Amino acid sequence: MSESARFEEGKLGRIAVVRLRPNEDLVTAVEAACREHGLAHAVVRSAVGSLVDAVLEAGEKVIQVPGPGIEILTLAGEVRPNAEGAPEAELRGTIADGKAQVYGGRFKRGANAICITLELVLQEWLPA
Amino acid sequence: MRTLVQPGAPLQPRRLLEWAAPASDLRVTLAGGQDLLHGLVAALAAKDVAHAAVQVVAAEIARMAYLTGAEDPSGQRVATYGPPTWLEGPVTLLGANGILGPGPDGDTLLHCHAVVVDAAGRLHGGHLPPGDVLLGDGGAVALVTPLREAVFAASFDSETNYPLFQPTKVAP
Repeated sequence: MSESARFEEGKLGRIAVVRLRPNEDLVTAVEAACREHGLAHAVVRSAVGSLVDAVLEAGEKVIQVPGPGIEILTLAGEVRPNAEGAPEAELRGTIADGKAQVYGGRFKRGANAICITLELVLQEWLPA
Repeated sequence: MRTLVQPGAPLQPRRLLEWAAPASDLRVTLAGGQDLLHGLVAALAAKDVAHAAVQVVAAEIARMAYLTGAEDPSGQRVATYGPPTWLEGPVTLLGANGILGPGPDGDTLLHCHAVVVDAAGRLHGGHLPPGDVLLGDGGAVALVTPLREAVFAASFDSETNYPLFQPTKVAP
């Protein structure tokens, strides 16, 4: 029988104050920071920063936006352990390029280098 | 993935993380007729909150400017901001993330990027310059996560040649 909804009980825990330096990949660097500091589950609470270029995924579409200086406008998502138990980040949001065009989608792994900085606040999710 | 050579030598570690203690979140509503960022900074200062993660969940804007990125013609940095784009309201804010902390001069700074839709239905977004986002009658709502024991504080970053918010441990 298929489940139409599944719940995970838990609570929010510690808050991680994070910065990624230039040329780090957004998705894999968030995962690395979590791995290095023992953060298995987390949610994004806020993020402000920029990318060299951006590559977003939306359905089957891959959106390539040339920079530099792509502004990350909003960032949402979470970090959860993958099948091997390593932190895996799923991040989505909106960006603006230098022509003030706005795009949105999932940030493609390995394709979004930080330009100047990413200021990020994660909060730990503690499953019961 | 293209990377850029920064003006200064790479600094270590490449990923910085400091642990902050959880605290109660705050939901704040701002009345219209004031600047979004100045209004939030002042309202939070009155609650003794000078370090926080901020999500602006709603705002009705009468007039605003935003900045987007550009190459730095001086070559001193890999990117800078272009000239402001001004929008006449009504502009509806769709989402915004912000970081509140002491800026390079010690004054509390709210570094905030937002996505908005203008009166003609066009999307816009970028960095919000403090003092240039006048709220309309609908005001704004923000969710604020105060940061304790670890915060963002601005200091000069020799790699990028910018003052930037850095994770900083502070006494409880």
